[in-house]
Amino acid sequence: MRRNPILSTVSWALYAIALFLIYHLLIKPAFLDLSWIALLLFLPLLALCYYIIRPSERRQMLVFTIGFLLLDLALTRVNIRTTATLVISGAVAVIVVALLVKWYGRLNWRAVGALVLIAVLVNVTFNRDTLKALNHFTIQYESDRLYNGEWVDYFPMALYDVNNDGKMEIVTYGNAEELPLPEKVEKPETEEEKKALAEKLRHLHAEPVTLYVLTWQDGKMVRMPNDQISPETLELIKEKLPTDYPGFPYYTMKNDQLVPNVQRQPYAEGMLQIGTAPYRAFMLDMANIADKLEENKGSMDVRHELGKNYKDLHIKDGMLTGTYDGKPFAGTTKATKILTTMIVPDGREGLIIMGEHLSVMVVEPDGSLTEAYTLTRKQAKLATGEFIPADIDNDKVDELLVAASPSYLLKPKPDGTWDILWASGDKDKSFRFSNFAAIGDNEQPEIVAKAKSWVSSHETRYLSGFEYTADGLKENWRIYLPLINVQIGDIDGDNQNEIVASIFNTHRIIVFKQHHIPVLTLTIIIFVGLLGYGVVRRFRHA
Amino acid sequence: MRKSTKAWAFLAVICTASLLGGCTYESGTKAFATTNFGTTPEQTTTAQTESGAEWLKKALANAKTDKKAQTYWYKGHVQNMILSRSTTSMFSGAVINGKGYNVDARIAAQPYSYYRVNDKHYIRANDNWVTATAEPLPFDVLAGFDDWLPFMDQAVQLPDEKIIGVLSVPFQLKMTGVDWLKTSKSPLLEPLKKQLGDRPDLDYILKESTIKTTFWFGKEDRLIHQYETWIILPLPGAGTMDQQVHFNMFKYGDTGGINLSEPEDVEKYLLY
Repeated sequence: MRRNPILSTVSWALYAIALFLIYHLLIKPAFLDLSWIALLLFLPLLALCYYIIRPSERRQMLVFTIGFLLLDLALTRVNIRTTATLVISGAVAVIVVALLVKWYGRLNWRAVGALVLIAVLVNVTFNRDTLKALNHFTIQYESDRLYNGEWVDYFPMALYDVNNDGKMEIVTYGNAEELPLPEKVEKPETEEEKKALAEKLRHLHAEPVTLYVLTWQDGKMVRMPNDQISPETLELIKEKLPTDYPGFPYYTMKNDQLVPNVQRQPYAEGMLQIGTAPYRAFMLDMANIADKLEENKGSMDVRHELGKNYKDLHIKDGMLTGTYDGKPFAGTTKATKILTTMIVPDGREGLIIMGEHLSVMVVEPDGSLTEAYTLTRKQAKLATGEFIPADIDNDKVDELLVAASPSYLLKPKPDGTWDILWASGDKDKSFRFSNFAAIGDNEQPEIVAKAKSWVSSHETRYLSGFEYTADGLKENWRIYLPLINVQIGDIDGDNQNEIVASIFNTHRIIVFKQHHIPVLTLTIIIFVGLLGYGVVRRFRHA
Repeated sequence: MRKSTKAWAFLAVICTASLLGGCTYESGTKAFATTNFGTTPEQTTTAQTESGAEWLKKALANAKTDKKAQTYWYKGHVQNMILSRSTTSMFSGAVINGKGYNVDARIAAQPYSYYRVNDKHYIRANDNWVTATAEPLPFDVLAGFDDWLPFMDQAVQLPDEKIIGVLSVPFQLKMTGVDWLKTSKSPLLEPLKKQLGDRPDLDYILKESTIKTTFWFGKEDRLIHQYETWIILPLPGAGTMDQQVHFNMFKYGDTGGINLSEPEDVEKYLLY
């Protein structure tokens, strides 16, 4: 490294890149997945690395390694509030680490330059979240924040081909355009300004919230103006969006606004008449439900089309009506929600509905309804559950993925009961099924779920792809980001399905595209190669 | 030398294998982990001779007369669970009867504080104190408890339980919204009662609803220590809404720890 200055700089730069890849793609995931087991494996590995560096070069190598990782970390956390703070805090980090490395590591300027250059480059040239997914995915697109309001943590999201162009549009809610962030917050000085601010702080305020339809255009997602979408399509889009009640019962979404139903002082005083608290909570719920029913003209739920055979589904006054394969049917029900359909063992398409319990209804030839399967509240926590039909074993009969705590994979048996094919661990509160769909160019759909590390006690869940086997769910891939609102579909029209998701409370949409480059294997090869190079250097002249 | 190299190589193989090999999540118990839905509460073996109504009356009387019941801490929340979303409002603080209370509160993820001492009312939001201007409700922290009295004779006594360190006797009652509205004299329910005549859809919601209230009375001090109501309502397009209204009243008589600021101390920071 000392002979040729260019070669020396390039060598240090290559070492920095290798270090970056090994740290982010190998060591960090190992710790996230294996927790303390990773530590047990890592400590002897660290000792080995220390040992194979020539004693005369140890200080330089160690200081370079720590300095690089430190600067990389510092640059990911610089203050991005304004361009000035970004430049100043970045420069301070660079100067401090560079001087420390130069002075304490006794490294030459070429090494310091390589360290700084690579650390800066890996922080400005690509979306850093890519690293969390890179083993199987790249980030194709990440939106700006779509919501600038005060309190909503996430909105529902769906994929739907709004303009019939063969690719999916992303549909969600937002207000970034309607409610731009103020340039800077002014401190009130005059009496008038103080009075105005006080008046603002006393109350909860309505926020604009509108439908955001994003479509893929020239390599990025752009918003389709709502006035270019026909009212009929808007109606269909709203039906596609998962039912959601953000802020219920304190806020109601009406006329493109989230309107508060309570105010700070009266609500605190009401709840501090503690005996009346449930009465007040109940009245607030009922007022919201009364409004909702009035808006729906007494309907509990409506679907224009569902599955292959169902149309004009309607729950009203305790009756479920609709058509199945063009023929009308009707039956009594206590359900309030039409969920989805699943193919049952006799080949019919069953309709999944939910009230207090979950039912799979089938339509008889005479137009009556029979409850073919049921899942009770006694059996699973339905209130907060999600239900995904999925033909896991390719027998043309759908199984049901129940995302709850615990989660179940249920196979309907011909006798009207369920066979539990798989259940999440008794103590695992984190696991939750998310989707069943083909990703990328795969033909076989796979189970997508949020799962935590099997050994860590930390509850953070990462999105994972699984395949059902007789031994259990075999993990195919993992994205080390706590993703929510996961949807799978082709949004860029290349006939490959992307994963569209968001992160809690960020209101940014991220699109992941699968690749088939064996990133992990390549990184391991780089790591082993680096170790091998170290061993050769160490013992060549021993 | 060679021996240690082998050991390192072995370790490296294990590391690599553990990283490369995707793991399989084996199934947990293949049986439904039954929930507590529909379970009849376990009857206590040490049944009290007095009814739930007697216990509630005694607790409300004690709350007025017992000297130590004039100061206490409280914490409470209202949690709504609808599909995968849960929305919570929270309250905590301390009460000094005859003087006032403070509330650290949160409505739908927006924190604020409310301060009420004598006839002064202030709100603190976004780090600013402002004067609250709405007409205040009567200062009566125990208001509404006596509305449960008509139901409490049917309350079932559950096994004793320790609530924040205090051995308590729980009583539970369960009914539908229809029964609640029919029997309750609470003025708060009046607007809904009036609305019901022309709204069969709301009748249906009430008929299919579940209201479950539990009181935990201190076995020794005969004061209310915990109070919880579960409200389950059918919700259009969403299955049901499960709502928990839960309050704890604790550290009765804790005069040393409760320190409600004097209004002058808050007014120093008043924005307007």
